[in-house]
Amino acid sequence: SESICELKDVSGNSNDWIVLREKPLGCWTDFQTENGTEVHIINLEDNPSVFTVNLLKANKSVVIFTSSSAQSSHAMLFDNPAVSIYVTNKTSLTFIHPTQKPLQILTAPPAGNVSAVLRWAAETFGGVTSVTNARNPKTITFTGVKGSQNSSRCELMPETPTEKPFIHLELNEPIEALKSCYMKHEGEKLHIINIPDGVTIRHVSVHLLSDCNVVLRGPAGTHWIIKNSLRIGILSNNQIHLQSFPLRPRMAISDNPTDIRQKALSYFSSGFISSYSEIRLNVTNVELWITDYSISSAPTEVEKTTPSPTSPPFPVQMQLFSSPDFTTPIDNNSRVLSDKRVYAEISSQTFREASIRVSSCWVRSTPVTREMPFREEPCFIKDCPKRLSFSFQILQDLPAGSWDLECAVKLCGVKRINNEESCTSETPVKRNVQVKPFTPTTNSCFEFGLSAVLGIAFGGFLIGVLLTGALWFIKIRTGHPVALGMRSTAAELSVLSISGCPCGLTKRQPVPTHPSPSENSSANASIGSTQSTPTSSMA
Amino acid sequence: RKAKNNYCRRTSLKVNFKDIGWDKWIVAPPEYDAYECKGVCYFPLTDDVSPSRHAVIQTLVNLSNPKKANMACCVPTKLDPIAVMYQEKGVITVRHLYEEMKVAKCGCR
Repeated sequence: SESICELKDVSGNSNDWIVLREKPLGCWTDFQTENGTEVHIINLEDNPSVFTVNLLKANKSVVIFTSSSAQSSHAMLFDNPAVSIYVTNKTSLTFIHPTQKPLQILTAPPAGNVSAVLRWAAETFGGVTSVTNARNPKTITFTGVKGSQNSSRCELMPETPTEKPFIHLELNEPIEALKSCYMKHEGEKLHIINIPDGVTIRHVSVHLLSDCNVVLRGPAGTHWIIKNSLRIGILSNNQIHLQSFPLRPRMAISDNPTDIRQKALSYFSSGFISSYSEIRLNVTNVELWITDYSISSAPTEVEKTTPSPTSPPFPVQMQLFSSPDFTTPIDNNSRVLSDKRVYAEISSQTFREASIRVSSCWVRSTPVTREMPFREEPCFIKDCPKRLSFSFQILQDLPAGSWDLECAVKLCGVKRINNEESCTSETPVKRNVQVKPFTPTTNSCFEFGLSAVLGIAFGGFLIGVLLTGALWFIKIRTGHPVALGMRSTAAELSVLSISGCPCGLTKRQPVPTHPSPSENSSANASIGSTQSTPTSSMA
Repeated sequence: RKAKNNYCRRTSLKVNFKDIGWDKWIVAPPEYDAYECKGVCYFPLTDDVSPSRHAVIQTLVNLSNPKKANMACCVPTKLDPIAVMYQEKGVITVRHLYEEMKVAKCGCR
């Protein structure tokens, strides 16, 4: 039959508008026997022919393997002397050690299903620590981490096995379990979920993350539970619980997409279908999240676009600054000395809410390309762009020139649908920089640091004050200024100026050979003496 | 009528590694279903057998003059891996993706 739109396989059972998770039956408690032994049950479903069991880090425990399938399986076992392994009698599972050493595997009584095994284990060992469903596993690893759970009685409930800290399951992805397609349009959204007849799913928990109309179609006996209370319209051929409120089936709907489409459009008086999804997963319990694709986080949307060779798939800018406070921009024509640090701000005006990740930077000037080490700079403002700093020291051995500074960036955001982080593919962001190698001068200039400059300036100021005080004291005592004393002081102070330095760091004050007219004033003389210091002119 | 029953399709092919001498290094599984492609690519080629353009042309030439060209061949168009446990120098290792071990789809080429 013809589908509603071109169905595509949803890899990993998750995309921008739909997420499907298995909710197998399982449980876990804080149970340990009196001698501290844990009791774990692994229920193998859809057995693979070959998988791995790693018990190397397991705590002292009993691990019971069971399966209702008749298919034979072989498991590579990394064993642990603290772990006793049981296999239920009718389970066709053979363990093999990597070095082919003989393994001691105990046999548990035959059991029809996992509940019966749970009962047997609870009676035999006094309780059960966990029951875990492993559908088509690649590896089953016991981590040795102790779980903390208040419950002491293991009661089978739909669960997410990944939440158990003491066991790690790597499962083979089910093939073509979820197929879906999305058609963007304006107006009210209409999502259709179709579980074709013959699929074993019976309980579906549905999370609708935005206002919409939904068609929930499943085989007879399917039970849908809608977990939220948004403004939604529902059409189903099955029993539905909206929160805890039961809704009767509206009408019979076959699993034929054409029939579903016609009934959906007619029931909701709608002209558009937003998404159509088919679930073919042979488990009993699943959980489903559906959202409006158009309100998904921006990066996931741009991830789907095909970048053209000339423009990046998302707009990102890089602005350079000469100061660490990011207030002095460097324009394209400015030259940057290779010994100076350059500060860069990478931002996206379009996707402000997305975080920017920088994986690598490099400088390029054909034919030379060099990797550019960078340092992430802290930023404390809201919605801060990415701030980095670079040093062009790596170009010190090359002549001055124009370089392209490029960084590989990607935008990351959290999907609304399942709170999983999603990132775009990497794209380069580029700025041109004129780099001039730093050439240290050969003369022996003093290199003044900031503290030295401040110290000398303060010293000069202090001398000026003392001199003024001395002149004031002499004036009070003698009644007239001492011009000669002032001249000698100026001569002494001029020694502090740096002679013979071609750098032009200071202006040399010539020693006056005759008294200036102002020398008659003690106040002016004191100012003049202060100005005669090299530091004061710098300051 | 006979043609419809013998159209190109995937059929079961149980392989026991002991029969082909591969049990010396493949420890598990001892046997598996490799599937095979059986049948004839009769005109008209349908979408089910995902015919290449060349297969369509060859089929049309065969239809007009059977001596000039053979019918297109029914062959695997998609192969899947299986997981195997194999031994090498006395050490057994699991390889989860031993590629091209079973037929996933058949088609006319």
